[in-house]
Amino acid sequence: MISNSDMRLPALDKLIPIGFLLGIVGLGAWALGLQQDKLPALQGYFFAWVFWLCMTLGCFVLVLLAHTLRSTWGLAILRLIESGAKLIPVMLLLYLPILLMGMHDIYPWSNPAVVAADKVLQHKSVYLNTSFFLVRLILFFGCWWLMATVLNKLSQKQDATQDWDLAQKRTNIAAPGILFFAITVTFGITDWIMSTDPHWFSTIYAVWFVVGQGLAVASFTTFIITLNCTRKPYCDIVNPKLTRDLGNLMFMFTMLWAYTSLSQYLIIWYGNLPEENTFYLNHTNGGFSAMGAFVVIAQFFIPFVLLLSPKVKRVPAMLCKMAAWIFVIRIIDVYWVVMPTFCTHGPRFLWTDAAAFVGVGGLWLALFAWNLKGKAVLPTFDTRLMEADHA
Amino acid sequence: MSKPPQDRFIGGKQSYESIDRKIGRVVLDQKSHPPIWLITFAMAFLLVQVLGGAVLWLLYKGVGIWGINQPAGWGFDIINFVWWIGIGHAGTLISAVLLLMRQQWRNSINRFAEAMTIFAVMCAGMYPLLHTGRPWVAYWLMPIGPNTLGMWPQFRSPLVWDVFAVSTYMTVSALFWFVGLIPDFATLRDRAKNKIVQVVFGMLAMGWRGSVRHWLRYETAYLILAGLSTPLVLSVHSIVSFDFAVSIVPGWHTTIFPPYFVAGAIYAGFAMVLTLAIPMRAWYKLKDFITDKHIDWMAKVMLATGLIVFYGYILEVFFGWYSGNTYEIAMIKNRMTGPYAPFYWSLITCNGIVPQLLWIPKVRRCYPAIFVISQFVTIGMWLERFIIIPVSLHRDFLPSSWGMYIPSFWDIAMFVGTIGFFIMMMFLFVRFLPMINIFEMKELWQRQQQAEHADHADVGAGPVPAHDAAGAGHDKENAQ
Repeated sequence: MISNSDMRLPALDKLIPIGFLLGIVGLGAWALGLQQDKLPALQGYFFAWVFWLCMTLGCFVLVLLAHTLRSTWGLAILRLIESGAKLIPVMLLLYLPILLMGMHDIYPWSNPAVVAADKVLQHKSVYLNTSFFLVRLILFFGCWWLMATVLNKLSQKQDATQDWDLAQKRTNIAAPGILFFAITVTFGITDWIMSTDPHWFSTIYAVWFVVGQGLAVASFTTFIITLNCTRKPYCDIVNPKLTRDLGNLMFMFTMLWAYTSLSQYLIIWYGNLPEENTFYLNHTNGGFSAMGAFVVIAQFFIPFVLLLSPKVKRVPAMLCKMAAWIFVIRIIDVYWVVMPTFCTHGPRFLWTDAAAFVGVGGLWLALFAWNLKGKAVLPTFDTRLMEADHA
Repeated sequence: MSKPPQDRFIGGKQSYESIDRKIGRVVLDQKSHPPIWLITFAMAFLLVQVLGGAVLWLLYKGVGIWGINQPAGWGFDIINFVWWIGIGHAGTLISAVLLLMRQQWRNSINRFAEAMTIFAVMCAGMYPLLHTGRPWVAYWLMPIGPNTLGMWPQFRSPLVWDVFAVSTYMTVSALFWFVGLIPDFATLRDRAKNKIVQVVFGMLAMGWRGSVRHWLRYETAYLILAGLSTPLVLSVHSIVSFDFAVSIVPGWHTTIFPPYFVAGAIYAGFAMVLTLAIPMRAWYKLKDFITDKHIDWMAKVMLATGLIVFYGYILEVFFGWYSGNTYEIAMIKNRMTGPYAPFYWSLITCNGIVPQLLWIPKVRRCYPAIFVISQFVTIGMWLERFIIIPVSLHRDFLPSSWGMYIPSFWDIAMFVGTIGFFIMMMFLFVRFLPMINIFEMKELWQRQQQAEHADHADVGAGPVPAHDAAGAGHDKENAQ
């Protein structure tokens, strides 16, 4: 019998003080910046919020997938992504600065003066208006939080009771949950991110975002597991089969990201309609075109070639570097997607952007580690992971 | 300590010999075929004559015999092309993607589904070829050379991408299918009593003796082909979707099209696999190999892909409205309330509402119900292409150029004819080639035996010693 203490990862606890410190320093510095120049500080904060929201939702969607498919890769990362999914209400709280201080700055459609002068926005105002926006926000976050909490409880309970019916119970919630999440997240991303440019629309946008979330979380969790592959409990489960699965998971998301990116770009470029091509015109202004090209090379071609090689997927140290690389590029990618709407002359290098990102990220990581403090980082109800080790 | 309950993918009491016998019998004992085989085959054969007539008349008169017109320049020809290509997709998904994902339940249905892919792509290929009006100059689509032909294909056109995507798909699928058949050809060669049958299967087996080296080469080749086929699952139907999406016709030009088409293709494909597998396993008493579990999982995949398709419908309507674009809004209104509205609402019923029954486990165990739902899906996926293609074209930007699309007799004759061709080829396949992969079933059976054996040996004794996983590969030798 494996005891609970073997399943802890004390190394993760170090993240708690560091994260909180970064969070306080970052957000404090950002607040100073906000006093000086409100608009760019809010935009920078918005980018930080979007990135860490993507991490949270990515954790949640992988929890749903893991419970539906019940595969071994899902078991290896389950406790980590559950801990990330617990942060759904935190992300709602962290959205408050934007809602309270920057609604009109970030979302032009919320400003009645802008809407009065714009026929298309008047048409959209049935959907894009502040009160309905808030209703949707609270509804979506509330339902996701509820679902994440129930699923977490059920999987913790199975560790205690070893009752296999609970696995089926989770599948029964998670499978329709994916459907519910797909629909709500589509509207959510349309509301929170797409509507920063209220005229523009793309039907694949939400899918593109969710795939990016999956990629970010796959790389984040792979990084944690491979970095600690010599420590307990991961040293018992890290073997070529598991690293190959994790590598393939990142590979799959890399491919899907490229696929959705290319689909959206090709269709808009080819059609070249003035109401759609604004997105790519904005996103190739000034330095953004070089940044976009860099993301394509760094987030598709490089991982694609490297992850095809069996060696990268077999050696944990190499996979760890690969995962870190993908995670860093994800940050640049989200910046490239979110920021051009605000700064139309190319990427900017503002210390408030960095402070907001570090602040929100520090808090997120600290709370992520806090959720796992003193707890098992692997589920003990399913022994398939340990068996794979002997095979 | 606990383990998830094991899934069994082979039923009944089996041995290597019984697996060989039960699957091989269908091919080697020609008397084992039920009368329904001949009846269905004869009907399908008749329909092939209809196809022949329709094609001959088309070649003589030209595409004017079809219902296409201005503004609806694409009609049954392109609807049916997309429909057939979509049906083929399940074959590639099952054989390649599920192989890479190490899903063992693919093993009894892959051969069957791959055959389906090849015949469906054949049906699909006929349409654009004949739609060109001059199929005898189809080689103009190839980049043969500006010096010899005096022209060059327009490589910015997705129609040219289609030529390459579909022909690659056909080639790789056929190769994959044939390579997978080689060890089974050898089994049939060894079991055949008739001299001619022995010679024919002997030639097809290409000298297979089942040596370690043969297996090693085989596994490598099969894995490479699976790797090549996997992107094809995504790319072929994505490129088909580009045929529409890169244009600026409302109803065609939307960025969700590529994944939405791919999901639709897999959806239609699984409906067709179920349509064929449910009666076949009853007629040929193969329920031990295509088990209830298989049907259940296929129904689940069908449900999942159906939900993605339904998600696409919701997005189309929502973003049609959200765009604020007059033409997009008019297109959505025209679909819902225009002259073709009954087709739109039938589409929503067939593809969106009826398959929701598959959420209920009881329905997934009721084979007549699954069969009927599969028919709904097949019809629904056809209607989807009907809604996308002529219904988007018949009313475009200028009301003065609006029109209607009504298929002609020849459209319907050719469509029915390709259905006949598909059924005829499938029935010939079932009769003359092993419809279930014999050696993969033996491998799966052996794994299942060992897993069960291990379970009995170590009840409650912690992790299972893993001699089984390592042994499975080597024992293939003995299996031959």
